[in-house]
Amino acid sequence: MNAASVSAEASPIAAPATRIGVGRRPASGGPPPRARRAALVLIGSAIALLVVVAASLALGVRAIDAAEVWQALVRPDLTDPDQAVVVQLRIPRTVIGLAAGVALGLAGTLIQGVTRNPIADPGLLGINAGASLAVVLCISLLGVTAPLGFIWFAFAGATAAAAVVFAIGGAQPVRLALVGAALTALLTPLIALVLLRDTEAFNQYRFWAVGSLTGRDLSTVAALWPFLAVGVVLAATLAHRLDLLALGDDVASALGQRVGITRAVAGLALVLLCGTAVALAGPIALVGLVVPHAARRLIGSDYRRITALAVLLGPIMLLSADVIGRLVVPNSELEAGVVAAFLGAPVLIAIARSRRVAGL
Amino acid sequence: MSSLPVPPPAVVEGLVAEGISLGYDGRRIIDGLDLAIPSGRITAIVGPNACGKSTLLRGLARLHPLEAGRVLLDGSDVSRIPRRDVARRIGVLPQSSIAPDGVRVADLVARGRYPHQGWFGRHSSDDDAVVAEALADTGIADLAERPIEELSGGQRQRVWIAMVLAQQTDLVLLDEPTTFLDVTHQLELLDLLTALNRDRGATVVMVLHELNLAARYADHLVVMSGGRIVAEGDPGSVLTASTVRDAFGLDARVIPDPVSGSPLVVPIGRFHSAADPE
Amino acid sequence: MGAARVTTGPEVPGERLARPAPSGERIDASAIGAVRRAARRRRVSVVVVGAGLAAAIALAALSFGAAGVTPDRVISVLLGGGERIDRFVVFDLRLPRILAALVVGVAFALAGAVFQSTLRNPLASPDILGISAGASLGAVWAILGIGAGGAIVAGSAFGGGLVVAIVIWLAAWRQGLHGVRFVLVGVGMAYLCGSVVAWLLARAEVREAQTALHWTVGSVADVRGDELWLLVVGTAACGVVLVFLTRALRPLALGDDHARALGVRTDAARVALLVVAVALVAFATSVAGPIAFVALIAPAVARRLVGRGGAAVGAAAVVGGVLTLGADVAGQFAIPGFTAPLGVVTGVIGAPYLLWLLARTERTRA
Repeated sequence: MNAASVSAEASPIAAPATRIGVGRRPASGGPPPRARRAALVLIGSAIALLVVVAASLALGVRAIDAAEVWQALVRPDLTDPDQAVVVQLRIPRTVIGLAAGVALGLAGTLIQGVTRNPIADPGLLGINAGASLAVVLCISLLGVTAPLGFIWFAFAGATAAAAVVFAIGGAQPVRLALVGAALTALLTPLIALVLLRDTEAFNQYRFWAVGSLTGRDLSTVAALWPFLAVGVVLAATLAHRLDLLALGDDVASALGQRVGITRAVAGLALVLLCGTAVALAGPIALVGLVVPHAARRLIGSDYRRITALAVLLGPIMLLSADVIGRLVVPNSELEAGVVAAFLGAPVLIAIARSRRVAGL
Repeated sequence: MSSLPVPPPAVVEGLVAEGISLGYDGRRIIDGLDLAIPSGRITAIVGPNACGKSTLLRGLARLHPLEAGRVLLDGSDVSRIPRRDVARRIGVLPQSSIAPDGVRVADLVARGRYPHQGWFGRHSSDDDAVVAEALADTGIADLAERPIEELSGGQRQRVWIAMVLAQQTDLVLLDEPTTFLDVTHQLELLDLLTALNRDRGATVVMVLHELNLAARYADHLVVMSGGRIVAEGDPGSVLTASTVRDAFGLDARVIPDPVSGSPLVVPIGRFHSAADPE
Repeated sequence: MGAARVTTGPEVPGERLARPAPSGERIDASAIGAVRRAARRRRVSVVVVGAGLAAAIALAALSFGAAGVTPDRVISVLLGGGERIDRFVVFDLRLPRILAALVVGVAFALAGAVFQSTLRNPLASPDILGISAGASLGAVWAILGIGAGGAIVAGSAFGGGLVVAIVIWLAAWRQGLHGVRFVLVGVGMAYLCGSVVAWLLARAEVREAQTALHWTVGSVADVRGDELWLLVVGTAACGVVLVFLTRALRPLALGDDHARALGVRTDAARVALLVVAVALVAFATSVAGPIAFVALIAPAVARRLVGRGGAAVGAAAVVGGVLTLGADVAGQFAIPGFTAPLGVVTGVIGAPYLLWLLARTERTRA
């Protein structure tokens, strides 16, 4: 399996990369330019996130001026229809977008770090498929119709899928990814089978399956935030261990890391993060895949920095997808899931074309 | 094979680099370098990290495209010779290798026969004989049926070298072949390459880290620094204290190797000096 | 040269090779031949057993069904005899579907084996690389966007798959075709197309959307006539080309440096292999829909059956054919009164088998 794990990475590119720049560090004083650059990127991203949050509150199908939005935030008056829109629709979807974005960005970073496979993401590990099947069954068998009713099923489905993947996939990166793909291969047709036979369930499910921040309220976040919080804390403690894992299992254990435990903790964090994300927003593609690559491109290969940046980039990407979706079609909306895919694909292509693609 | 529009001077035998430039993603590592590899000899390329010695080898071996210049093999431009024909003349051991999951040693070594096989890649009993010889020469005959994952790092390295030997080329280029090997195996490997050179007249070019082994085993030593060749020739005359200082930035004394008589570089370092030599 | 020459003392080089090496002995060429033949025996037996299995399933499938035709009558029909009604049932009703199931499986499995070994990623398959998703998007758009059916849907699927392949190509090409780039862009395209399909399904009238969903699952129930011939001829042509190209997979598996050193023109070889793989997927998908994950699972199963680090392209083709044929038969007859499209059954049968193989190889390795 060792050999195969090498093959999943990019040994041909990695070789020159290690050759370049060895022992050519400018010997100047002050903070090294990389650290300064990282700080700038993080600050810039934080500002960008604030801008996107503001846009998410201020922009939409219904034109509401900034003063009104501010009013709704500080002293809401629900009898005013504009303020009601802000309080009852825009604040919830912004909060949901923030939470789901953080969860997706972190989950993608963790999965890629743990599996050392540049294409690993929640979709590929079978987690989205698990959540989807659970939602389909809950619609078809229990007749649940509101997105609010889906969250625990989605969470449970994601958790079960992740548990199966980690139980069979164990600690080996390539095997983990293969098991995830196999599980997706098993669940996707089952979902289709139910949907082909149950038109009503299909009718409900297809709206959930696009991935969207609307149709939920803050009670979803209220119910799920503890899981998200634990997931974030675990991910934060794992960041520097991923740096060692990136060097290979052998090096990592030689440096005193207990690789098995790291993977187990990462697995737990993944379950929590992916479960939260899919329960909040449905199966959103590409955010979990693109964010870690973008972060690596912007800030280098230090996983602590990548993780910190992913926390910002995830919600930036998801919320801007949501905002753009409100604006592109007059008097209507595109779901965040579709827009996120259209945002993510070009970014991913740009990253793939860059020379440091194999930095995993 | 000399399909070139006849170069004016006499055709140089063997492998020659003429003004080659190469690098990665627009960053030039080597710029306009000339080098003639003496045929039928052992050439070692040494130099500090990032001096471009591996890049040079990759350029010579046609693993990396040249941005300028050309590499000549017996007078003809290597880039104009079909790859398979080159592969029958030049064997290469690169730094990065991937062993497919579950592959057996004999099968991996047999892949060195690729340039000698026809369209359908059928193995003949001649191929088997060559593979058997390569396994025996590298001392891993008893591992023939083992999956590669079960081997130690040193054994694996010998498997890869056996694969290059199975290619049966008169030129062998090796990029740091002694990495992963302990002292005993390093010496064994270099002895093996020496035997290859003396028994079969093979030309050997290798990038080496270990200066003293390079000095002992090489007939021709190429010292590189910063992408250029700083000294080249017989190790006895090339490897002097001043060359070592120029290339490596290292203060050292060079004394005759008590075993071989070749130059032995003894680095001085900050501590441990017993007495001032002067 | 003098210094280095003094080194070796009285020893003669030839003798130094014959020294008592720590683990080395002389080995007979026939022993190498034996290793090689053992590997080939394994390959051949996988292919033979698979082919026998396929034949048995096909025979059973020709006999099953509403109009029962006993196996002996099936054989007499196949040999050119039999009653007219039997001939009609066998040749016109059942054989096309069986042939379609078999060939679709072979095509997807060949494509998957080529993708995975060429790109050196065990996850590289048309499902994950977005080519199937592109075909689905093409078909779903034709069904829901312009209300088309039949050949237009097939053509649109073919076009969709091809467009995605070309986009991946253009995006991934930079000073040569690099595996990681190709896979990364492909995964992105898969998600993009998948999202648009989900969105189209959510926008459309629910019954039409269900028809489109049915297409994206994949089925060979209605493959016959010209479509079937296109599939068979296309797959056969690609298969013949592959016979000449797969040879390069052995050195390519060792990494680009080794492959180049062994005389492979790595970019040209990769491009040729991938073109054939894309063509296989395009033929099969346009006719039968993106039969889920055959291309992912069949090569993985074949590699584990054959072992020894080969690409196992031939074995993958056989495994793929058996998988789809068996799945189609199971989908029709396994549960009385309940039929499932091929694309559902392949996943339900193939995925657990792959999971079991993965779990088992872990145990035996540990």
